[in-house]
Amino acid sequence: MHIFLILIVLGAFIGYFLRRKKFIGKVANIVQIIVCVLLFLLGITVGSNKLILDNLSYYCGQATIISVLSILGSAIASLILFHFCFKGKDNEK
Amino acid sequence: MKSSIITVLFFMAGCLVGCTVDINVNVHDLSVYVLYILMIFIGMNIGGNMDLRSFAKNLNFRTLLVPLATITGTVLFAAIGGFILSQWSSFDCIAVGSGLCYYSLSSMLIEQLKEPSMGLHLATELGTIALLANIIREMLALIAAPLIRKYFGALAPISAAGMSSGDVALNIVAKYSGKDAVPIAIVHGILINLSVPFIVTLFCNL
Repeated sequence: MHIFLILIVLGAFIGYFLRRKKFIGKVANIVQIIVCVLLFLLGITVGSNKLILDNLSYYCGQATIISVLSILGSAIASLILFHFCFKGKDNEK
Repeated sequence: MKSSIITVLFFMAGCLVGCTVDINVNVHDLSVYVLYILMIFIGMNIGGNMDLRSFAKNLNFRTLLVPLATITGTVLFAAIGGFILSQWSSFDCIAVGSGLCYYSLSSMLIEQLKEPSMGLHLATELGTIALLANIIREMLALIAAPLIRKYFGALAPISAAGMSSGDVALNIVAKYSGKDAVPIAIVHGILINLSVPFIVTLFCNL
């Protein structure tokens, strides 16, 4: 599955060599459109799967648990980092 | 905020089409090819838009520690999810959490990478949870930013926003953490953006 990483690096090289072309400014929009297409396809996968659709609130519950834990974890980690590395240098208002 | 609502609308439209129309095309294979195209364009976006000079200027050691803290905190706490949610292992929950708001990429990656080991059905379920979890994280990071700033300090709104600290959540970060935090937030967003495919791939294979 390293093909994903290879494709990103390949794209980065193409982008780097084309960086003076006007077209590069539109790449972010193209990414947004492809993301929408992908999510539409993901939606079709989910929508045609009756089991997932019937339990959507159940999945939302699990997703909320993981996302709240993730936010809490990263917030605590950044608080520790702030305490040790940032506090002395730039005084917050 | 507007773009996250639009993407959610596309997802919902797909759901609607999926449950009403009988589709004969193999959607799974089609999405793999679209994902390949997306990867190339994401790479081009990184390679073509990287303003190397301003990037290097803000690239001191302290700034590099912020995404590291974000990833470490997320991974450690998402692992707890494995104990709360009995049907998923801690590694599954970490893979979901380490999407770090990159909902599109992480959900597709998890779906593809987990399919050989869990089967299409469970992999689709976990991909759906990853999509929902990372969208919810982005929404929470935007909505709860003042509270996060109040209780966890100036860096926390950046960490909580994950990848979107550099784009969608940048205005919110500037508002609650101050203008000094903006370069940190942008570098944070870029580095998280670069590391998500690696971390998700890593925890999917464990």
